[in-house]
Amino acid sequence: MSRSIAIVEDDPDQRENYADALTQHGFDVKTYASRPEALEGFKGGLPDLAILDIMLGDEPDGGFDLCRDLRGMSSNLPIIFLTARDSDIDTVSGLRLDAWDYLTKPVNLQYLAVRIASLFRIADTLSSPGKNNDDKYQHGDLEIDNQSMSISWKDQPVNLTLTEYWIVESLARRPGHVRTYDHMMQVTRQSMVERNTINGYIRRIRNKFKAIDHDFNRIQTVFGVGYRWNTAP
Amino acid sequence: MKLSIRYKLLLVIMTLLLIPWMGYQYVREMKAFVLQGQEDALLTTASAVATVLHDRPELFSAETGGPDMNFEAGDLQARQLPGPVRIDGELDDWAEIIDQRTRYPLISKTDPIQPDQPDLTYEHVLGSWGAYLYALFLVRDKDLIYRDPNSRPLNQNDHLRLYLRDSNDELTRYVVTESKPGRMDVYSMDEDWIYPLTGEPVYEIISYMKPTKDGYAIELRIPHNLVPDDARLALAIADVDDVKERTITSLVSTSPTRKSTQLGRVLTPAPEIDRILHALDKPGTRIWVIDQFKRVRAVVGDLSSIGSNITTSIDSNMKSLQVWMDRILAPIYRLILKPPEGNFSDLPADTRERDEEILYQVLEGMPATDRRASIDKQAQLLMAAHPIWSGGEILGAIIVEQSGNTATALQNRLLQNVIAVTVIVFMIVSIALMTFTWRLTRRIRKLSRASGLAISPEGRMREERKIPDQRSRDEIGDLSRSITDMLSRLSHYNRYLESMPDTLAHELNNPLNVVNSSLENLSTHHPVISDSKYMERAQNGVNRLGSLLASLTEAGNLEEALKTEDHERFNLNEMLAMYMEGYQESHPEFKAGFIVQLPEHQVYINGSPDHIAQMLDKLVDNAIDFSSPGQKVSISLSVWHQEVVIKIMNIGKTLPEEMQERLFDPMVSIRPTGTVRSHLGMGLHIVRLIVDAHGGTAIARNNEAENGVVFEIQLPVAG
Repeated sequence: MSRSIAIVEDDPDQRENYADALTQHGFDVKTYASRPEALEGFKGGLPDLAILDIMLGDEPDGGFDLCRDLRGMSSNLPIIFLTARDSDIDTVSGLRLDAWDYLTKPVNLQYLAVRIASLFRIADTLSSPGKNNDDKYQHGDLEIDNQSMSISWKDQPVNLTLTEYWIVESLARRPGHVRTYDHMMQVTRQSMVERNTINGYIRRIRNKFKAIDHDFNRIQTVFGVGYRWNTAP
Repeated sequence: MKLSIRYKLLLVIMTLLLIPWMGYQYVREMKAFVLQGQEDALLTTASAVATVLHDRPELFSAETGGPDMNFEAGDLQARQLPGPVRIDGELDDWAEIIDQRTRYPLISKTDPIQPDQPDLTYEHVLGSWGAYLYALFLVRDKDLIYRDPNSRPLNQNDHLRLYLRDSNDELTRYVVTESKPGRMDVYSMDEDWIYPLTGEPVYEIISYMKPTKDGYAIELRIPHNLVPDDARLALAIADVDDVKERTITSLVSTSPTRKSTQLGRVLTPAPEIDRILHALDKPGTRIWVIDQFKRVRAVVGDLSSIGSNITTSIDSNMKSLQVWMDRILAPIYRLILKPPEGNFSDLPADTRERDEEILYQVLEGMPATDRRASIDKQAQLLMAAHPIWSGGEILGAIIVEQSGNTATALQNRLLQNVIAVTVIVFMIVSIALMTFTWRLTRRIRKLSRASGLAISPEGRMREERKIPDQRSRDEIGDLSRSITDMLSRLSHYNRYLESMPDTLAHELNNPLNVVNSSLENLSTHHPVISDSKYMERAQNGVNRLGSLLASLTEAGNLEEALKTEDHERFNLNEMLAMYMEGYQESHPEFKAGFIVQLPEHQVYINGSPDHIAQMLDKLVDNAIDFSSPGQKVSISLSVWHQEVVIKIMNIGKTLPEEMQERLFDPMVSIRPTGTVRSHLGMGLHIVRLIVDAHGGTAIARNNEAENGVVFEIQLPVAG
């Protein structure tokens, strides 16, 4: 049975392009142009994943409201924000609403498909926990679960978004080696990423680790180049 | 020259000084008016006195010399005494006429011969009563030398000489001398004034001598029969100063010369005139009777001691505030005003004759008034003259004199009031105006400072603007409100302009996404197309467009990020070294390389290392882009006055002069258009945002040799 994806996007061209591309990837796509239309559609059953634009018609924060509504209906539905609004505040508020990821336009449709596939994998793992632990590996205090795409630090789970997970995973895979900005841009699987955006991701990641371990300092900035995972503190 | 409002107002206050000037003018007119009134009164008095003397030619008869007789130098005028004088050294018998004494030696314009020894002076008055002539000498002589009783010559001591020439031209000489105070001896002398003609003294002439505090006084009585009408008389005081040598050091005579022909006549007064005048006498007024030859026939009255009375009477009426003010202002008064002299003296050296302009007028038959200074220049005297008529003839004139001190005292009093009022008004108005100006200028200065501070040196609007005087209802309040209004409108517009790139980028992102996703779908649906070079170019274009839009929004995102960023203390040396190393690794295409100069001591700053690195990215990229091929880029770090200075220098194209200021503004670029790495001029704007957030300054200028550009970043050193 193919996965169902709901796309809520007020621009018909973009909406149809997403739908075409994702249908091509074998997903069952439903499209909505506004929040009421989407809510009406969701009454007939929730999709397996929702892609939301934030600005919906004349509602500047329609996406956020819709996200809140969806969370009311399901606590573990994967939600992706896909929007032209790229400010930190928007990102943070989007993620605070328990969105699984936050992507800024223009988006690469190939990457989008990969991302959606990954999210479905995570969702599957979450719905059937403890099935297998083969894909876990450990670097000192850091534990990475490739299956559920989750990370623990000192046995405590770190609540990372998909993009953040990819960044940490990429850094930790080759400890002590510098991951350049260019490399990390690839890792985020987004089409346009500035260094500043990477810095923003790293800042948020560090904060999340520090919330667990105040003295966390494993991610080291290599100025002008990128970042590195230090094996020793 | 810049004149502040304060000084301008001070100048305006100066116009208040017109008040005393006006007051002065007013008081002067007042004084003139008062003096005029006094003159009129005097003239009335003169006229009244003259009326009494009208048509009485006998008063001017020749009993003391014919009317044809002219007054000559050396002539002696005897005053009418009210009664006999006792020759006893007591001077109160002389009270009536002592004011009319004459001072010798005479200082006269017509006779330039001055006495040899001016230290001998005396005052002399001649009186007449009954059958006697009386003479009084008040001699000022510091060494009183008495006659040695054992010495025969009589000229070796202080003595009085009498020259008397009778109608038969026979000259008699008398010496009045003494060996002790008291009754004096009178001898008839030989021609040389050395020895007496006989041993017997002359008994008709009686004399008495009494020492005074600065000399001595001599009273003398001569019977009229010794001095007939046509006789001539001179009196002289001989002074001996040295008790050993006993030579005469000076001889001062009533006659200008010692020749016998120059001896003066003795003019006795007209007793009738004196009697009439005494009846008219009043205090503070002096009345002169002058005959047609300008000889003084009679004088009565005393001028002095009126002015001072006036001053004191006014003083006693003063209020306490005035007294207080006067005490404070006394130095000013003394500087400006001359207090009227109550005790002035107007004793003419010679009271026998008057020769003044007013006399010519009055003797022509015209009543006249005039003013003159008193002899000692201490007071102004008012004079009024009226002719005395007899039939159609002018017999003489009456001159009435009064001191103008009353008016002067009045004037001074008024002037003092004017000064006091001016000072008080001046002070009150000045204080009021200065307070007002001080407040006004302070408000204006505060307003100007506040509006200056509303915009940062870089020309950005500050968020917190505190413009004072928002609530005042006056013009400054209006100004303040309109400045606030203007600033907030400007600020809105500024914000709109600053948010423009962001809004634009967001709006463009959606259509860009349409193009992008459409291209992707196109290549998925038609795999043939995906290999086409046009597809690749389209994709490139989309990417470039995307990166342009990203750099547009970068600044806005950065600003928000900077607000929330926590600053940490970090080592700038290490960070720079690491950065340069990393940069060279990641940019192998820049082969020329860098010259990095770091100080030996470690430099720490507080900040966000990520953003400092981002700032360096922009600056280094910029320096490389503008470097001439093959030229190194130099980067240096130094500390100067608690400021970290990071300098990034490149050799190459210089900055146009007018761009150096604006270079850090958004969307300002001097890159040639069409380059692949287009930044839309946001790079250096981002540098400024980061530097601002760190409390530093960024400057771009051409280097000294003018063959390149220096970017200088100053950041505060961390403690």
